[in-house]
Amino acid sequence: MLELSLHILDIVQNSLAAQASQVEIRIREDLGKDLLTLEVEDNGRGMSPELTRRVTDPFYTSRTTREVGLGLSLLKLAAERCGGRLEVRSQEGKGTKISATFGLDHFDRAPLGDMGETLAVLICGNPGVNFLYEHGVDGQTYRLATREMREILGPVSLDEPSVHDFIRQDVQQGLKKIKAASFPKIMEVLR
Amino acid sequence: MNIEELKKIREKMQKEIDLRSGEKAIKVVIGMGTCGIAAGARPVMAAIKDELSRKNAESVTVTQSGCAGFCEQEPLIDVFLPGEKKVTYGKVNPDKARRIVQEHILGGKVVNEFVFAQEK
Amino acid sequence: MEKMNLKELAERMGLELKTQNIPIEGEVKTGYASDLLSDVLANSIEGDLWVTRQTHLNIVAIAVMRDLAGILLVNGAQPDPDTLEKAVEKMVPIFRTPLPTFEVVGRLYQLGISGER
Repeated sequence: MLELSLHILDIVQNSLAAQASQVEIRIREDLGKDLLTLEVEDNGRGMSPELTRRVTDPFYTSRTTREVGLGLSLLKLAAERCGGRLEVRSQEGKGTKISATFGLDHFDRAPLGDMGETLAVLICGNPGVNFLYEHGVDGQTYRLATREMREILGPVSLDEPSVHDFIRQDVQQGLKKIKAASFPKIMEVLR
Repeated sequence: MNIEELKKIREKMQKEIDLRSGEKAIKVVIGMGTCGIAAGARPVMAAIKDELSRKNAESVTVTQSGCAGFCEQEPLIDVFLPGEKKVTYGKVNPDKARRIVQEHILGGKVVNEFVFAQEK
Repeated sequence: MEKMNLKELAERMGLELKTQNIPIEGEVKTGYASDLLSDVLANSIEGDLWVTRQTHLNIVAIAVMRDLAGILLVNGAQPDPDTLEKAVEKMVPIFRTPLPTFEVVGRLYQLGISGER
């Protein structure tokens, strides 16, 4: 995918297909370690050890199951392409946790992209699911939680178009405030 | 999170919701599998929601589905109008999506040139 | 093989010019097609026309670092707003075509743009 936010949109579909009622997306940027960490954790039905082992094998997933598709093998490739790795941990009946690391400033690290649009699509398209998004940059954090949104919105449903726009803008502004790195810094040349 | 902004939305929408009548009878389902996302499903969904919002359409539910197995036709969207058979549009982009909202979802007339499949 | 500059090439191929008011009369003889920035960094040569669908700001950085003739975006990709702004500032011409990479490179090749290193 051309953006990390599209990888995230893709991976979360697995959580939804696994009937998760709660999905937590966490991104951490560590400037000192040149590391970007992405975690997607859900409380869906989880996977057997066998499936967990083979879930990043595109030849396995594309033939035997449509619920876990190519998304994880693409994410694995994206991580490894810039010095990172992908880890899948899952327990049947409990849930699944996907962890991916990337070289923050590696030239081939896909830009973060439009996280606002990804979150708006996820939240508004699945109003019955609870989402938490946390993005930390060296100590500063932006956070969006549907639980908190529901408390404020009351009877107004999360799938209202004005909520879609709110999410998109809030995320954009929030990430700008904490100076989230949208793409790797090739700094000197661009000054 | 900008709490003040969200509160304003509640105030505004609460009044509108009180005035609304029936159920959301029209359904639009957007394919959000890996192929769909790679082919551009996210901006298609954004365009559909934006067009519906502009036309103040109230009775439409927009949801997502997984991979349908027709990856070369992605982005795919299914339109369900009450009492009518499912219509599946293929190779949708934001411009086509807006036309589909205007002509089919709100206007009731299938946009034949974009149709991939129709339930018989 | 006749000499061609970017402007003539763009006209011959119907490429859409995205950057305004910067010179596009530079000669272009070679090209490189890749969407991996590290690859372009390692394997492009000065004066290459870079064919890619990457649209973010860093493509300008790569073009400057490698002294490329310009960037051709394929599949109808649009440069991000800050990419366009920086490209004009750094005088990197950006073009756009609805054609996919394979087709566009084939046509460039027929016009005499070589991939030889």
